[in-house]
Amino acid sequence: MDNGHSDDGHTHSGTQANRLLLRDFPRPNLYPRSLLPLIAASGCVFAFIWWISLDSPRPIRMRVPVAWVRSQPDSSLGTRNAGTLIPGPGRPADIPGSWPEFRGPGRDNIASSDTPLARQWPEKGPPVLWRVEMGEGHAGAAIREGRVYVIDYDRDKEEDAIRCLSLADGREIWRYTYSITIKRNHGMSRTVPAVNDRYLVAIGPKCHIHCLDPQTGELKWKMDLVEEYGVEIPPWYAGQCPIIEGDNVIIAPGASPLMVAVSLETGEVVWRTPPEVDGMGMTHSSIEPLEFAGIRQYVYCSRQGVVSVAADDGRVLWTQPGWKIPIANIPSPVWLGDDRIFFSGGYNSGAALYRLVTENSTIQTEEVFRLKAQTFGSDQQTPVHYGDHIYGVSPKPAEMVCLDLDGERLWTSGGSRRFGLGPYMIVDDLLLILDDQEGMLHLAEARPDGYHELARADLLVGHDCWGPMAYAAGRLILRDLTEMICVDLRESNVGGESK
Amino acid sequence: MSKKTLTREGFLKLCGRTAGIILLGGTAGGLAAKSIARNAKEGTVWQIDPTKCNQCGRCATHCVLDQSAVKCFHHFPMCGYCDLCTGFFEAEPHALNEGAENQLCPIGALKRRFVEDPYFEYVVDEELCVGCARCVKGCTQFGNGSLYLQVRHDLCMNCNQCNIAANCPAEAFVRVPANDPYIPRLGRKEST
Repeated sequence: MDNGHSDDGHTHSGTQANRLLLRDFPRPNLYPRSLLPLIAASGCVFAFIWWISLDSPRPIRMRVPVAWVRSQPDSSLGTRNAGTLIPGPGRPADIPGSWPEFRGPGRDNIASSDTPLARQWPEKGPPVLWRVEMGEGHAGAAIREGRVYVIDYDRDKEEDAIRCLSLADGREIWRYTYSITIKRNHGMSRTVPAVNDRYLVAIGPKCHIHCLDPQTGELKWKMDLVEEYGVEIPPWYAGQCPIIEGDNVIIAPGASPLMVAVSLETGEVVWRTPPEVDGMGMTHSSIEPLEFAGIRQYVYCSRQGVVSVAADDGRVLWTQPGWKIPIANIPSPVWLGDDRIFFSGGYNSGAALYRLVTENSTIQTEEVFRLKAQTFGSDQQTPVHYGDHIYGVSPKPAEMVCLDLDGERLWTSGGSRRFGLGPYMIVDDLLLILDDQEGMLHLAEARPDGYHELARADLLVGHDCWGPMAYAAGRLILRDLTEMICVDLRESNVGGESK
Repeated sequence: MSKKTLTREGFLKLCGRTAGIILLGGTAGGLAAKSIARNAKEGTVWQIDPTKCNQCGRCATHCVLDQSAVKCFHHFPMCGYCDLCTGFFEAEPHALNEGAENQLCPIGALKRRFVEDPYFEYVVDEELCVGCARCVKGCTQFGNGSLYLQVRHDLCMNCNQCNIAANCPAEAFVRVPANDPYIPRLGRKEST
């Protein structure tokens, strides 16, 4: 019995005394403590099974490189057809004017017309003189003495085809073909041949150079840049266009050597650049000739920067490693005259203007300004320097932009006039711009005070109208991915109601 | 008042009248329902015009759904199947592989698979895609724009006042017929 005193003489309350007593009594084993964890565990298992039976979330997957098993691409010429000349029914047109290579006779994408061009077009557009089906590609035309030269690819026969068409009606005068396997890769052919009175030079998608007689199509010589110099074919195939300078054709293999001058007559190398600029990489950009400080020179945008070499012996005059585009350098440099050279590119590269200066009888470059891609940067096409301004389509957001030579934007064509990656050029004082997706040709005034559109015409189906345009004697040659057309822009022939 | 009794003849007349009323009402109701359905079908819904879209990214954030009803579509006939796809890779990738650090898509919704040299196929995982348009931007600026955004009408709530449309800076949201609710990548010329 608890009398309120413990054995050690301290006093306890009654409740505490009762608890002590209860603790001392044995309790019935109705809910053994060992069962509770079991019940809880069973509940958890049941809940887990229920949860797992519900819709499961997507598994977390690591985004890591995949080791694809890939084969080495074959760039060798086929043995089936080492080179065949095939005559066609066409006849050269008796039409003056020429567009002898990439960016025309002045290498500036500017043409002047002897006859006035229509400044208004009828609803259906200017007359289309002819249409020719092409293999997928972006190769532009060269024009000389009533002939149109273009490199094409025949997928059925697996052959590159250097084609000569009549400027009058587009019928084929001849074609020179050779076997090679090329897979679709945003088009196949994408270069413009260079032609003079005796030689025609074309670079194929896999860097095969053929020099032909421009009248007959007979082979003069050929060269395989991969075999000869170990060239690495650029992604999406070769885009560099050859340039003819005097008796030589100038080509930049971008390997060892960086650049060569090849005799048009013999196909022999006249000079090659020194080893110090070897291996800088071939790009889609083409060589820009210019003259500064009394020295004729060739400027090339390689993968690792800009190199300028002397036209007489290929010695390196200056380099500028600050201008390089990691994915693909496509536009060519634009020489602004005097001492300034303008570069632009896509892939967020923007644009830059450098000034050439002479120091201790060497040529150096000084950066004048650099533009962010939001201000200007031509992705594929080379901008046009006209007057004191630069015209070009900037990829953000694909509007025509007019810059002054300080890099200030004077105007854009606005949101309703976007041209994507389409080509553009100037004839007289008129801008011709091709929308790359819809195949719509736009005619606007090349003026620094704003975009003044005069007319537009739906001429091509599209898409991917990326090939450079060519102009001669009032005729404009343009293309989309699979068709080349010739349009008559002369005022006397356009007719129809003004738009 | 004498109570009118229903004769057999009266019964037949009553049945005839009732059947006529039911037939008439049913026909009218059916026609009305059909008309309503046709009107609903021939109404308009919101869609994105790919030629106007400037890939601002608001489609991902301004839809009233938890995950946007705007998804990236891929027009395969236009795609170049490039190894170096500018819709898949960052502008300056460390390497041309599937490592997360090289990819434009923040959630890996654009998958690529090697087909044969030099081709890779790019497929949009619509369950993951939130319509952020990063891939579309890369493809449009540097490629030919075979990747483009569209409103998925099996997901869209068809709000009368679409919140994305109200916030689209390019006015790329347009009304299109409900029975033809998608705008092909090449618009009017695709079918030619």
